[in-house]
Amino acid sequence: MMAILLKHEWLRTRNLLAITGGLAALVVVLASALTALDLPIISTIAQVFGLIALTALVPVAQIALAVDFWTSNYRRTGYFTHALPLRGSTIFLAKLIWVVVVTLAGLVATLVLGGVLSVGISLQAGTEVNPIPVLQGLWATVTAVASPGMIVAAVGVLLMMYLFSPVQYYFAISVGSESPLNRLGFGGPVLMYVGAYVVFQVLMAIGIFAVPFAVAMEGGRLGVIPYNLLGAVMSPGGAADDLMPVGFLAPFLLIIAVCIWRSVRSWNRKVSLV
Amino acid sequence: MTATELAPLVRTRGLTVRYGRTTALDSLDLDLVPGQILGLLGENGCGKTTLMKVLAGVYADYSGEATIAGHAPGPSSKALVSFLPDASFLADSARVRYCLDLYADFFADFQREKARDLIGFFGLSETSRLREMSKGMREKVQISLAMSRDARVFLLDEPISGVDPAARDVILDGILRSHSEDSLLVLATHLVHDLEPMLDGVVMMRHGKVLLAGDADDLRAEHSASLDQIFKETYR
Repeated sequence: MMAILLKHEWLRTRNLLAITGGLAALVVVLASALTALDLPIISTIAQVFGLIALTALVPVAQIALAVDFWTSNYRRTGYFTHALPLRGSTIFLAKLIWVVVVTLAGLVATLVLGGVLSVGISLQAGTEVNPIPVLQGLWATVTAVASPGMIVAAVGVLLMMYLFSPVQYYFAISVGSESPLNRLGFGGPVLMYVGAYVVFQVLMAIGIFAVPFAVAMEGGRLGVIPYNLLGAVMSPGGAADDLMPVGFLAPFLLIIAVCIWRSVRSWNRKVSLV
Repeated sequence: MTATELAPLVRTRGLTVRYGRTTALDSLDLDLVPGQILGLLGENGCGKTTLMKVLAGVYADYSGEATIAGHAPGPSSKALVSFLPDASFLADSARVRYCLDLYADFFADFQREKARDLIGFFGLSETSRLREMSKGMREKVQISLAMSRDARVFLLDEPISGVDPAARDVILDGILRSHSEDSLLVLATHLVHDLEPMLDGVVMMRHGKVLLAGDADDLRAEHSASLDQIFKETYR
């Protein structure tokens, strides 16, 4: 059944995603071409637009899917979705898997388009056009300062950060569409999102101050060191700016788990379409 | 076996739904047996749609008890219930053919050939998109899909409202043509006159309560009037 659900996610959202990806690709290709021409002002503006398209591709695709999540589950077509003889959690997990797949595909597309833009920038600067040696140099720098475990952890955290937004959107839409917030229309999810956002920020801030560790350069390599942020802030010198506290990670992962659990509960027990 | 001797297929006890200060269903007790076409009648806001939503499993914020063939609203009951809401529940961009695929993929009891036959009966094309259709045509597509399941309970919410009189007759013919006699067909409406000839029983509601219920012939005999006249008298 999961395969059938994913098939219909693809069929329903493919046009939306094609438009999003197509627009980003068009902007980046044009930006790369205009940058390569080295035109005064225009090349700079084009480069900025190219970078915006690159960084916005995944977030915009995620927002587009969140809008689809709202319309296909809590507007009139939601009557079909929620009348299916399936557990709500099964349908919700299919939608979650789909947004993960789209996010990963979007990240790959961002890397490829990044290569396209870098060609234009290299042509303008008269440097190496092939992005592969540049990436190899970057990789050599990373491996020189970070252990394989640290690299894997960093990539994992980066991916989780990308997946945090859709989990938060789906949570806010699902729980914000329960009674009594369902009578507010889209206002319910918006209120839930804003309220949850504030709570999540506070929890992560508490985590940063409560867990006395940070990632920093030590002996020429990245490592986890003991670091009391609260003590550093209170000290006359203030907090150091060359390290990253890791205390946000535990609440961050906990928030993702709680959001998914609560959304699943909503889908199984609390759907009330108005 | 008469209708009253059959075990109820739909049962509610103390079913209550509140929207803020408004009580949509007020401690509703109902037993609906299979093998009948039942008119769920009442003015706007009397609780018909809310009752349909609870039974279809798309409204969970209720208290009391509701069961369909012994199952509380959920995946098991949804496998037995075919629900036609009063809103267009299919994507505007979808073609009729895709809607057939959609039903075939998700409902094990869906009879594709029966649906195609009904769509042909209504004179519709499988290649048309829903957005290209009138409200009546779209309603015909949705009825074709909903009535082509081998469900035990059919819940049709206002299937002919907003449709011109000529199309109403065709839609009702289509419903009768596809209805199996051992199932329960519940039609929520306030257009009693159009539905009267096909109804076996009625439940009239007001303010979330049952005002009048019974066998259609018995009610006509008891009141010496048509259901339409009884309806108008009751809601005057």
